[in-house]
Amino acid sequence: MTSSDATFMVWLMLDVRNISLPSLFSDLSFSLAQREMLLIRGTNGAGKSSLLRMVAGLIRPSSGTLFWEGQKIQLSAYQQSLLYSGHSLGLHPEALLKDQVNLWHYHYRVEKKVIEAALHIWGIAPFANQKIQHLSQGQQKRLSLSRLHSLARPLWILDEPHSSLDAEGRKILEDTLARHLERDGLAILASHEKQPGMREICL
Amino acid sequence: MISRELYNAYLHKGSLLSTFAFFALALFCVSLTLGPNETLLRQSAPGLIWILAILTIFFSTPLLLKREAQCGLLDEILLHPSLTSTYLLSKVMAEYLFIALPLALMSFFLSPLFALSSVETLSLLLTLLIGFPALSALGILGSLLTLNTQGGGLLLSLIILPLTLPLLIFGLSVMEMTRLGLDSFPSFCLLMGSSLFLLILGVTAGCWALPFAAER
Repeated sequence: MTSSDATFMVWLMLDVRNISLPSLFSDLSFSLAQREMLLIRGTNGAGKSSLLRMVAGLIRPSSGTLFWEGQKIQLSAYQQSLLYSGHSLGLHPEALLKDQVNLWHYHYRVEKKVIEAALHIWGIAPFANQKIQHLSQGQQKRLSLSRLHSLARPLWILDEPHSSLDAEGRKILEDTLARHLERDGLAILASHEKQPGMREICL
Repeated sequence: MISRELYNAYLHKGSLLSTFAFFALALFCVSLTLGPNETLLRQSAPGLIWILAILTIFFSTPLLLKREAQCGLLDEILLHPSLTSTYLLSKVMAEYLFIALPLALMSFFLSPLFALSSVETLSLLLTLLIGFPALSALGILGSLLTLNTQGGGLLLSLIILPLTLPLLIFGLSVMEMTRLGLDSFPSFCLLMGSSLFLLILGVTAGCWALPFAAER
């Protein structure tokens, strides 16, 4: 059992009201409840990544407000409820894969065996002694996404999670997302591709 | 956060080697350029070593921080529950252990190139060890301020380099007093005071600059 197997018992909801970012979008509102997944879709440069960074609290909107659990967000508490995976994968450039495990252990205070279990799920455990920069883009993406299994966070904000993944990787991601929603999680994804059967906002 | 930053700095060991190589080579070349005149070497050594130490810190810190930002590691820091000041102080501590301490030791071991006496060498080592926390904090602040700018190195020199003047002045004052056999304690106190003040200034301003650095 990994950390992400936990079910979130309280009622969680993200409410984004009238946020704007000059020259990209204005007065954008949406809400997301538990067991819901939202796709932010748009062409290159439409502002998908900026919107996700804004929802993660990494960029301040020029106007508008974010509410979490019905309250205006308190940034540090809110950010403890989310897992953000951006374009940059958050992997140390000079580390071996096993070094990255240690770094996450220190950073997230998660036991190494939980992180290693996630590496097994994503099929990258055999590369423990390889330098991350020598792994393929797809393997690096798998490594970055393995945090989805090792951290118990109700809100996932994923920027183009399908990119660079092969069919097997996409299957693991789809299964992981489905299980997250079953366990009362919430997820926002950005992509320039349409995802079948998913609620979406077009930028 | 401290253990994370120490481990993070340890993982940069490949890049740090080139930093140390630059410092050692620069010291070696400078001593060769000055020639065999011992008086000239002894008089010039403190200033040259201090300037090289400042430049080495201001070259290496932005490079390391830029790589971390490009890889998304700064985003992880901003999403971490720890205070920004805790992160910056941890980073200063990690830089002190993994960059400053080796640089100070290299200055110590390469001091014979400048014909420094043992007292002068110890004095130089002490001034560097006192000054480096402030230099690291200022280096990190400068890196954060220039992270998203083009020609960041030039901006860093213009914005941050003048702030290092008190360290340079009081550090060299300690060395001069030691060389002349005078009481260097007042200069030591001024060096420690200015180092502490600049450390606080660097960390406080860094706390303000970090969220802006991550907004890209």
